[in-house]
Amino acid sequence: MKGAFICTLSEEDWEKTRLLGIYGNRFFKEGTSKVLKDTQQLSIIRDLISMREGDLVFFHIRGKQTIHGVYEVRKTPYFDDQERIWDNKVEVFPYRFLFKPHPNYAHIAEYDANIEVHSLYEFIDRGMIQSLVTLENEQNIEARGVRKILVEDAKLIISLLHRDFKFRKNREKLEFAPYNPPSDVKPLKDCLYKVGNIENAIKAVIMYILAYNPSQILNEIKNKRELDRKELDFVNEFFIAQTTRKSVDIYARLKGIHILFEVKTDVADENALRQAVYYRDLLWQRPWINPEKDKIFVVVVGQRFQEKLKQSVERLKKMNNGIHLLQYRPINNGKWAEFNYVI
Amino acid sequence: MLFDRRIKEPNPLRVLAQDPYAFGICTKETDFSVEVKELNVEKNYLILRKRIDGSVGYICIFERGSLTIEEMRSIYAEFRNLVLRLTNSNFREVELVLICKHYDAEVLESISEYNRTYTHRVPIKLILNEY
Repeated sequence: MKGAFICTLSEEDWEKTRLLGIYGNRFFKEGTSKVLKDTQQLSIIRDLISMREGDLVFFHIRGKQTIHGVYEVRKTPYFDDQERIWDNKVEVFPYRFLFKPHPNYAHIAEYDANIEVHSLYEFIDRGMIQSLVTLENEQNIEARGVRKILVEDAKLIISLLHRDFKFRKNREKLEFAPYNPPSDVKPLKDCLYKVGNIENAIKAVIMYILAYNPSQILNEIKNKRELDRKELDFVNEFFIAQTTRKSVDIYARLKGIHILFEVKTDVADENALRQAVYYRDLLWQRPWINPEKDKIFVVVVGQRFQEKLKQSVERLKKMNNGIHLLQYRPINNGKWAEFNYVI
Repeated sequence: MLFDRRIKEPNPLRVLAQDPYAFGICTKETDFSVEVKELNVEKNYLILRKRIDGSVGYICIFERGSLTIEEMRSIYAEFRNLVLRLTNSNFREVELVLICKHYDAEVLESISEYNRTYTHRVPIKLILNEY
Protein backbone atom coordinates (compact mmCIF):
# COMPACT_ATOMS: atom_id res chain seq x y z
CA MET A 1 0.00 0.00 0.00
CA LYS A 2 1.28 3.46 -0.80
CA GLY A 3 1.56 5.86 2.10
CA ALA A 4 0.01 9.30 2.47
CA PHE A 5 1.23 12.54 4.01
CA ILE A 6 0.03 16.03 4.86
CA CYS A 7 2.71 18.71 4.86
CA THR A 8 2.22 22.13 6.39
CA LEU A 9 3.76 25.28 4.95
CA SER A 10 3.24 29.01 4.90
CA GLU A 11 1.21 30.81 2.30
CA GLU A 12 4.24 32.74 1.02
CA ASP A 13 6.14 29.54 0.22
CA TRP A 14 3.32 27.72 -1.51
CA GLU A 15 3.61 29.24 -4.97
CA LYS A 16 7.24 28.26 -5.42
CA THR A 17 6.73 24.91 -3.71
CA ARG A 18 3.87 24.00 -6.05
CA LEU A 19 5.53 25.33 -9.18
CA LEU A 20 8.82 23.50 -8.63
CA GLY A 21 7.40 20.42 -6.94
CA ILE A 22 9.72 20.65 -3.93
CA TYR A 23 8.89 20.76 -0.24
CA GLY A 24 11.37 21.69 2.47
CA ASN A 25 11.27 21.40 6.21
CA ARG A 26 13.09 23.83 8.45
CA PHE A 27 16.51 23.64 10.10
CA PHE A 28 16.21 26.76 12.27
CA LYS A 29 13.67 27.63 14.89
CA GLU A 30 10.98 29.64 13.13
CA GLY A 31 11.75 33.35 12.93
CA THR A 32 15.23 32.94 14.43
CA SER A 33 18.73 31.87 13.40
CA LYS A 34 18.88 29.25 16.16
CA VAL A 35 19.39 25.71 14.91
CA LEU A 36 16.63 23.34 16.02
CA LYS A 37 17.59 21.00 18.85
CA ASP A 38 18.55 17.40 18.07
CA THR A 39 15.16 16.12 19.26
CA GLN A 40 13.40 18.43 16.82
CA GLN A 41 15.75 17.71 13.91
CA LEU A 42 15.18 14.02 14.51
CA SER A 43 11.42 14.49 14.71
CA ILE A 44 11.53 16.02 11.23
CA ILE A 45 13.53 13.04 9.95
CA ARG A 46 11.17 10.66 11.78
CA ASP A 47 8.15 12.17 10.04
CA LEU A 48 9.70 12.18 6.57
CA ILE A 49 11.86 9.09 6.46
CA SER A 50 9.13 6.60 5.59
CA MET A 51 8.10 8.50 2.48
CA ARG A 52 8.40 6.42 -0.70
CA GLU A 53 8.12 7.29 -4.38
CA GLY A 54 4.48 7.25 -5.40
CA ASP A 55 3.14 8.09 -1.94
CA LEU A 56 0.23 10.54 -1.84
CA VAL A 57 0.91 14.06 -0.61
CA PHE A 58 -1.37 16.92 0.42
CA PHE A 59 -0.34 20.39 1.49
CA HIS A 60 -1.84 22.32 4.35
CA ILE A 61 -1.36 26.06 3.95
CA ARG A 62 -1.31 27.52 7.41
CA GLY A 63 -2.46 31.09 6.84
CA LYS A 64 -5.16 30.24 4.32
CA GLN A 65 -6.40 27.27 6.34
CA THR A 66 -6.66 25.16 3.21
CA ILE A 67 -5.56 21.71 2.07
CA HIS A 68 -4.28 21.27 -1.49
CA GLY A 69 -3.72 18.13 -3.53
CA VAL A 70 -3.45 15.58 -4.94
CA TYR A 71 0.31 15.07 -5.47
CA GLU A 72 2.65 12.14 -5.40
CA VAL A 73 6.26 11.80 -4.28
CA ARG A 74 8.71 11.75 -7.20
CA LYS A 75 11.91 11.71 -5.14
CA THR A 76 12.23 10.43 -1.59
CA PRO A 77 13.43 12.76 1.19
CA TYR A 78 16.98 14.04 1.22
CA PHE A 79 19.08 16.72 2.90
CA ASP A 80 20.35 19.70 0.94
CA ASP A 81 21.47 22.88 2.68
CA GLN A 82 23.38 24.25 -0.30
CA GLU A 83 20.77 25.14 -2.90
CA ARG A 84 18.54 27.98 -1.81
CA ILE A 85 15.03 27.63 -3.22
CA TRP A 86 12.78 29.83 -1.15
CA ASP A 87 13.03 33.57 -0.45
CA ASN A 88 14.12 33.33 3.14
CA LYS A 89 17.37 34.93 4.21
CA VAL A 90 18.10 32.51 7.04
CA GLU A 91 16.20 29.32 6.44
CA VAL A 92 17.09 26.99 3.55
CA PHE A 93 14.54 24.30 4.44
CA PRO A 94 17.06 21.51 3.88
CA TYR A 95 14.89 18.47 4.72
CA ARG A 96 13.33 18.08 1.29
CA PHE A 97 11.41 15.81 -1.01
CA LEU A 98 10.13 16.23 -4.56
CA PHE A 99 6.60 15.77 -5.80
CA LYS A 100 4.41 16.13 -8.88
CA PRO A 101 0.69 16.21 -9.58
CA HIS A 102 -0.66 12.71 -9.01
CA PRO A 103 -1.25 11.22 -12.48
CA ASN A 104 -4.69 9.91 -11.48
CA TYR A 105 -5.73 13.30 -10.12
CA ALA A 106 -3.82 15.73 -12.34
CA HIS A 107 -7.12 17.47 -13.07
CA ILE A 108 -7.23 18.47 -9.40
CA ALA A 109 -3.60 19.46 -8.79
CA GLU A 110 -3.13 21.39 -12.03
CA TYR A 111 -5.83 23.82 -10.96
CA ASP A 112 -4.54 24.03 -7.39
CA ALA A 113 -7.82 22.67 -6.07
CA ASN A 114 -8.25 22.83 -2.32
CA ILE A 115 -10.60 22.34 0.57
CA GLU A 116 -11.05 24.33 3.74
CA VAL A 117 -9.31 22.76 6.72
CA HIS A 118 -12.60 23.08 8.56
CA SER A 119 -14.36 20.79 6.16
CA LEU A 120 -11.82 18.13 7.16
CA TYR A 121 -12.32 18.90 10.85
CA GLU A 122 -16.03 18.20 10.42
CA PHE A 123 -15.13 14.63 9.52
CA ILE A 124 -12.68 14.38 12.43
CA ASP A 125 -15.48 15.42 14.79
CA ARG A 126 -17.69 12.71 13.29
CA GLY A 127 -15.01 10.10 13.94
CA MET A 128 -14.59 9.45 10.23
CA ILE A 129 -10.91 10.45 10.13
CA GLN A 130 -8.74 8.00 11.98
CA SER A 131 -5.22 9.37 11.92
CA LEU A 132 -5.60 13.10 12.47
CA VAL A 133 -7.02 15.20 15.28
CA THR A 134 -5.90 18.61 14.12
CA LEU A 135 -3.43 20.38 11.87
CA GLU A 136 -3.02 23.29 14.25
CA ASN A 137 0.06 23.70 16.40
CA GLU A 138 -1.09 23.13 19.93
CA GLN A 139 0.49 24.06 23.23
CA ASN A 140 2.55 21.24 24.79
CA ILE A 141 2.31 19.21 21.61
CA GLU A 142 5.25 18.91 19.24
CA ALA A 143 4.92 21.20 16.21
CA ARG A 144 5.02 19.05 13.08
CA GLY A 145 5.50 20.10 9.48
CA VAL A 146 4.81 16.67 8.03
CA ARG A 147 2.29 14.12 9.22
CA LYS A 148 1.88 10.61 7.87
CA ILE A 149 -1.81 9.76 7.63
CA LEU A 150 -3.65 6.54 6.90
CA VAL A 151 -4.47 5.97 3.25
CA GLU A 152 -8.11 5.53 4.18
CA ASP A 153 -8.09 9.13 5.46
CA ALA A 154 -6.28 10.26 2.33
CA LYS A 155 -9.07 8.77 0.22
CA LEU A 156 -11.59 10.87 2.11
CA ILE A 157 -9.53 14.02 1.47
CA ILE A 158 -9.40 13.15 -2.24
CA SER A 159 -13.17 12.80 -2.31
CA LEU A 160 -13.55 16.19 -0.56
CA LEU A 161 -11.21 17.80 -3.12
CA HIS A 162 -13.47 16.45 -5.85
CA ARG A 163 -16.60 17.53 -4.02
CA ASP A 164 -15.39 21.13 -3.79
CA PHE A 165 -13.48 21.22 -7.09
CA LYS A 166 -16.15 23.22 -8.85
CA PHE A 167 -15.93 26.01 -6.30
CA ARG A 168 -12.40 25.94 -4.95
CA LYS A 169 -9.86 25.96 -7.76
CA ASN A 170 -7.80 28.32 -9.85
CA ARG A 171 -9.51 29.58 -12.99
CA GLU A 172 -6.51 28.78 -15.18
CA LYS A 173 -4.43 25.66 -15.37
CA LEU A 174 -1.15 26.34 -13.57
CA GLU A 175 2.37 25.73 -14.82
CA PHE A 176 4.43 22.94 -13.26
CA ALA A 177 8.22 23.27 -13.73
CA PRO A 178 9.81 20.47 -11.71
CA TYR A 179 13.05 21.27 -9.95
CA ASN A 180 15.75 18.60 -9.76
CA PRO A 181 18.55 18.68 -7.23
CA PRO A 182 22.22 17.80 -7.80
CA SER A 183 22.71 14.04 -7.92
CA ASP A 184 24.93 13.92 -4.83
CA VAL A 185 22.37 15.03 -2.24
CA LYS A 186 22.25 12.91 0.90
CA PRO A 187 19.26 10.59 1.35
CA LEU A 188 17.49 11.25 4.65
CA LYS A 189 18.15 7.68 5.79
CA ASP A 190 21.85 8.61 5.93
CA CYS A 191 21.19 11.67 8.08
CA LEU A 192 20.14 9.78 11.19
CA TYR A 193 22.19 10.12 14.34
CA LYS A 194 21.96 9.50 18.08
CA VAL A 195 20.05 6.23 17.68
CA GLY A 196 20.08 4.87 21.21
CA ASN A 197 20.19 8.33 22.76
CA ILE A 198 17.14 10.14 21.43
CA GLU A 199 13.70 8.56 21.12
CA ASN A 200 12.89 10.15 17.76
CA ALA A 201 15.97 8.51 16.24
CA ILE A 202 14.88 4.94 16.98
CA LYS A 203 11.32 5.82 15.99
CA ALA A 204 12.71 7.03 12.65
CA VAL A 205 14.49 3.71 12.14
CA ILE A 206 11.25 1.81 12.80
CA MET A 207 9.29 4.06 10.43
CA TYR A 208 11.85 3.44 7.69
CA ILE A 209 11.77 -0.32 8.22
CA LEU A 210 7.96 -0.34 8.12
CA ALA A 211 8.13 1.47 4.79
CA TYR A 212 10.91 -0.53 3.15
CA ASN A 213 11.35 -3.87 4.88
CA PRO A 214 8.40 -4.47 7.24
CA SER A 215 8.94 -8.23 7.51
CA GLN A 216 12.03 -7.45 9.55
CA ILE A 217 9.93 -6.38 12.51
CA LEU A 218 6.45 -7.68 11.71
CA ASN A 219 7.16 -11.33 10.91
CA GLU A 220 7.06 -12.38 14.54
CA ILE A 221 3.58 -10.95 14.87
CA LYS A 222 2.37 -12.44 11.61
CA ASN A 223 3.43 -15.88 12.86
CA LYS A 224 5.99 -16.10 10.09
CA ARG A 225 3.25 -15.99 7.46
CA GLU A 226 4.10 -14.10 4.30
CA LEU A 227 3.56 -10.40 4.83
CA ASP A 228 1.58 -8.72 2.10
CA ARG A 229 2.92 -5.18 1.90
CA LYS A 230 -0.17 -4.03 0.04
CA GLU A 231 -2.13 -4.62 3.24
CA LEU A 232 0.20 -2.63 5.49
CA ASP A 233 -0.42 0.95 6.55
CA PHE A 234 1.12 2.80 9.48
CA VAL A 235 1.42 6.20 11.14
CA ASN A 236 3.42 7.71 13.98
CA GLU A 237 2.30 9.90 16.89
CA PHE A 238 -1.16 8.42 16.47
CA PHE A 239 -3.77 10.01 18.73
CA ILE A 240 -5.70 7.26 20.39
CA ALA A 241 -7.53 9.42 22.92
CA GLN A 242 -8.38 12.65 21.22
CA THR A 243 -9.55 14.72 24.16
CA THR A 244 -6.60 13.92 26.39
CA ARG A 245 -4.27 13.95 23.37
CA LYS A 246 -2.75 10.59 24.27
CA SER A 247 -0.72 9.31 21.38
CA VAL A 248 0.75 5.97 20.45
CA ASP A 249 4.34 6.17 19.18
CA ILE A 250 3.65 4.08 16.08
CA TYR A 251 0.45 2.40 14.92
CA ALA A 252 0.59 -0.16 12.13
CA ARG A 253 -2.15 -2.27 10.64
CA LEU A 254 -2.53 -5.14 8.30
CA LYS A 255 -5.79 -6.81 7.38
CA GLY A 256 -7.53 -7.39 10.73
CA ILE A 257 -4.29 -6.95 12.66
CA HIS A 258 -3.41 -3.78 14.57
CA ILE A 259 -0.03 -3.18 16.18
CA LEU A 260 0.78 -0.53 18.77
CA PHE A 261 4.48 0.24 19.20
CA GLU A 262 5.48 1.84 22.49
CA VAL A 263 9.05 3.02 22.04
CA LYS A 264 11.60 3.70 24.78
CA THR A 265 15.09 5.05 24.12
CA ASP A 266 16.82 2.81 26.63
CA VAL A 267 15.11 0.82 29.40
CA ALA A 268 11.46 -0.16 29.05
CA ASP A 269 9.70 -0.79 32.34
CA GLU A 270 6.29 -1.82 33.59
CA ASN A 271 4.95 1.71 33.14
CA ALA A 272 5.55 1.43 29.41
CA LEU A 273 3.52 -1.78 29.35
CA ARG A 274 0.73 -0.31 31.47
CA GLN A 275 0.46 2.62 29.11
CA ALA A 276 0.49 0.42 26.02
CA VAL A 277 -2.21 -1.97 27.25
CA TYR A 278 -4.35 1.00 28.21
CA TYR A 279 -3.97 2.34 24.69
CA ARG A 280 -4.98 -1.07 23.41
CA ASP A 281 -8.18 -0.89 25.49
CA LEU A 282 -8.89 2.52 23.99
CA LEU A 283 -8.27 1.25 20.49
CA TRP A 284 -10.76 -1.59 21.00
CA GLN A 285 -13.45 1.05 21.42
CA ARG A 286 -12.79 2.81 18.13
CA PRO A 287 -15.75 2.42 15.76
CA TRP A 288 -13.54 1.19 12.92
CA ILE A 289 -12.15 -1.72 14.94
CA ASN A 290 -13.98 -5.02 14.67
CA PRO A 291 -13.55 -6.55 18.15
CA GLU A 292 -14.96 -9.88 17.03
CA LYS A 293 -12.48 -10.40 14.23
CA ASP A 294 -9.56 -8.04 14.71
CA LYS A 295 -6.46 -8.64 16.81
CA ILE A 296 -4.47 -5.91 18.51
CA PHE A 297 -0.85 -6.53 19.40
CA VAL A 298 1.30 -4.45 21.71
CA VAL A 299 5.03 -4.18 21.00
CA VAL A 300 7.20 -2.50 23.62
CA VAL A 301 10.51 -1.41 22.07
CA GLY A 302 13.68 -0.72 24.07
CA GLN A 303 17.39 -1.37 24.28
CA ARG A 304 16.90 -3.08 27.62
CA PHE A 305 13.93 -4.41 29.51
CA GLN A 306 13.44 -4.27 33.23
CA GLU A 307 13.48 -7.84 34.59
CA LYS A 308 10.10 -7.24 36.23
CA LEU A 309 8.66 -6.25 32.87
CA LYS A 310 9.79 -9.51 31.27
CA GLN A 311 8.27 -11.51 34.12
CA SER A 312 5.09 -9.52 33.87
CA VAL A 313 4.73 -10.17 30.12
CA GLU A 314 5.43 -13.89 30.59
CA ARG A 315 2.73 -14.13 33.25
CA LEU A 316 0.19 -12.17 31.23
CA LYS A 317 0.85 -14.30 28.18
CA LYS A 318 -0.44 -17.30 30.08
CA MET A 319 -3.96 -15.94 30.05
CA ASN A 320 -3.94 -13.49 27.20
CA ASN A 321 -1.60 -13.19 24.29
CA GLY A 322 -0.53 -10.30 22.13
CA ILE A 323 2.28 -8.55 24.00
CA HIS A 324 5.81 -8.55 22.59
CA LEU A 325 9.13 -7.06 23.64
CA LEU A 326 11.32 -5.89 20.75
CA GLN A 327 14.92 -5.17 21.64
CA TYR A 328 17.10 -2.88 19.55
CA ARG A 329 20.83 -2.34 19.42
CA PRO A 330 22.32 0.84 17.97
CA ILE A 331 24.81 0.16 15.18
CA ASN A 332 27.05 2.23 12.86
CA ASN A 333 27.90 4.71 15.60
CA GLY A 334 24.27 5.42 16.40
CA LYS A 335 23.16 5.86 12.81
CA TRP A 336 20.99 2.77 12.63
CA ALA A 337 19.71 -0.17 14.73
CA GLU A 338 19.30 -3.94 14.73
CA PHE A 339 16.23 -5.62 16.19
CA ASN A 340 15.48 -8.81 18.02
CA TYR A 341 12.27 -10.05 19.64
CA VAL A 342 12.92 -10.98 23.27
CA ILE A 343 9.32 -12.13 23.83
CA MET B 1 -3.61 -12.30 49.80
CA LEU B 2 -5.35 -12.19 46.47
CA PHE B 3 -8.63 -13.68 47.66
CA ASP B 4 -11.31 -11.11 48.12
CA ARG B 5 -13.34 -13.36 50.40
CA ARG B 6 -14.10 -16.97 51.32
CA ILE B 7 -17.51 -18.62 51.12
CA LYS B 8 -19.03 -22.06 51.85
CA GLU B 9 -21.77 -22.76 49.36
CA PRO B 10 -22.59 -25.77 47.15
CA ASN B 11 -24.17 -23.66 44.40
CA PRO B 12 -23.00 -20.06 44.59
CA LEU B 13 -24.25 -18.91 41.17
CA ARG B 14 -27.80 -20.03 41.89
CA VAL B 15 -27.71 -18.27 45.25
CA LEU B 16 -26.42 -15.07 43.60
CA ALA B 17 -29.06 -15.35 40.89
CA GLN B 18 -31.70 -15.31 43.61
CA ASP B 19 -29.99 -12.68 45.72
CA PRO B 20 -27.27 -10.64 43.95
CA TYR B 21 -26.21 -9.18 47.28
CA ALA B 22 -25.41 -12.62 48.72
CA PHE B 23 -21.82 -13.15 49.93
CA GLY B 24 -21.28 -9.39 49.98
CA ILE B 25 -19.88 -9.31 46.42
CA CYS B 26 -22.30 -6.45 45.75
CA THR B 27 -23.69 -3.97 48.22
CA LYS B 28 -26.55 -1.54 47.87
CA GLU B 29 -24.28 1.34 48.93
CA THR B 30 -21.66 0.80 46.23
CA ASP B 31 -23.43 -1.11 43.49
CA PHE B 32 -26.91 0.39 43.86
CA SER B 33 -29.68 -1.64 42.30
CA VAL B 34 -28.33 -4.96 41.05
CA GLU B 35 -30.34 -7.31 38.85
CA VAL B 36 -29.64 -10.57 37.08
CA LYS B 37 -29.00 -10.07 33.40
CA GLU B 38 -28.05 -13.61 32.44
CA LEU B 39 -27.37 -16.97 34.07
CA ASN B 40 -25.48 -19.34 31.79
CA VAL B 41 -25.69 -22.80 33.34
CA GLU B 42 -23.72 -24.45 30.55
CA LYS B 43 -20.72 -22.14 30.82
CA ASN B 44 -21.16 -21.56 34.53
CA TYR B 45 -21.34 -17.81 34.63
CA LEU B 46 -23.72 -15.17 35.88
CA ILE B 47 -24.00 -11.59 34.69
CA LEU B 48 -25.33 -8.96 37.05
CA ARG B 49 -26.31 -5.49 35.92
CA LYS B 50 -25.80 -2.48 38.17
CA ARG B 51 -28.46 0.16 37.71
CA ILE B 52 -29.16 3.67 38.84
CA ASP B 53 -31.05 5.84 36.36
CA GLY B 54 -30.15 3.26 33.74
CA SER B 55 -27.33 0.78 33.47
CA VAL B 56 -24.00 1.75 35.06
CA GLY B 57 -22.02 -1.43 34.64
CA TYR B 58 -21.87 -5.19 34.84
CA ILE B 59 -20.40 -7.88 37.05
CA CYS B 60 -19.46 -11.19 35.39
CA ILE B 61 -19.11 -14.04 37.87
CA PHE B 62 -17.56 -17.31 36.72
CA GLU B 63 -17.61 -20.43 38.87
CA ARG B 64 -15.11 -23.26 38.54
CA GLY B 65 -14.20 -26.22 40.69
CA SER B 66 -10.55 -26.12 39.86
CA LEU B 67 -8.99 -23.01 38.37
CA THR B 68 -6.10 -24.03 36.16
CA ILE B 69 -4.24 -21.72 33.80
CA GLU B 70 -6.02 -23.32 30.81
CA GLU B 71 -9.34 -22.71 32.53
CA MET B 72 -8.30 -19.13 33.24
CA ARG B 73 -7.41 -18.60 29.58
CA SER B 74 -10.83 -19.80 28.46
CA ILE B 75 -12.58 -17.66 31.10
CA TYR B 76 -10.64 -14.62 29.95
CA ALA B 77 -11.60 -15.28 26.31
CA GLU B 78 -15.25 -15.60 27.33
CA PHE B 79 -14.99 -12.46 29.49
CA ARG B 80 -13.56 -10.56 26.53
CA ASN B 81 -16.53 -11.57 24.40
CA LEU B 82 -18.91 -10.48 27.13
CA VAL B 83 -17.22 -7.07 27.43
CA LEU B 84 -17.65 -6.66 23.69
CA ARG B 85 -21.29 -7.73 23.78
CA LEU B 86 -22.27 -5.76 26.87
CA THR B 87 -20.33 -2.53 26.49
CA ASN B 88 -18.76 -2.35 23.02
CA SER B 89 -15.37 -3.29 24.47
CA ASN B 90 -15.25 -0.86 27.37
CA PHE B 91 -13.35 -2.83 30.01
CA ARG B 92 -13.94 -0.12 32.60
CA GLU B 93 -17.61 -1.04 32.78
CA VAL B 94 -17.32 -4.74 33.55
CA GLU B 95 -16.07 -6.43 36.70
CA LEU B 96 -14.75 -9.98 36.60
CA VAL B 97 -15.28 -12.16 39.68
CA LEU B 98 -14.05 -15.76 39.87
CA ILE B 99 -15.32 -18.35 42.35
CA CYS B 100 -13.28 -21.52 42.68
CA LYS B 101 -12.56 -24.36 45.09
CA HIS B 102 -9.00 -25.09 43.97
CA TYR B 103 -6.48 -23.07 42.05
CA ASP B 104 -3.02 -23.33 40.53
CA ALA B 105 -0.31 -21.03 41.82
CA GLU B 106 0.38 -19.69 38.32
CA VAL B 107 -3.25 -18.58 38.05
CA LEU B 108 -2.77 -16.43 41.13
CA GLU B 109 0.41 -15.00 39.60
CA SER B 110 -1.32 -14.19 36.33
CA ILE B 111 -4.30 -12.55 38.00
CA SER B 112 -2.05 -10.57 40.26
CA GLU B 113 -0.04 -9.44 37.24
CA TYR B 114 -3.19 -8.57 35.36
CA ASN B 115 -4.40 -6.38 38.23
CA ARG B 116 -1.03 -4.62 38.41
CA THR B 117 -0.79 -4.03 34.67
CA TYR B 118 -4.32 -3.18 33.58
CA THR B 119 -4.59 -0.19 35.86
CA HIS B 120 -7.52 1.27 33.94
CA ARG B 121 -9.64 -1.84 34.25
CA VAL B 122 -11.51 -3.12 37.28
CA PRO B 123 -9.24 -5.62 39.11
CA ILE B 124 -10.20 -9.29 38.91
CA LYS B 125 -11.66 -10.55 42.20
CA LEU B 126 -11.13 -14.10 43.38
CA ILE B 127 -13.44 -15.87 45.83
CA LEU B 128 -12.47 -19.17 47.41
CA ASN B 129 -15.35 -21.58 47.89
CA GLU B 130 -14.49 -23.83 50.81
CA TYR B 131 -17.56 -25.99 50.48
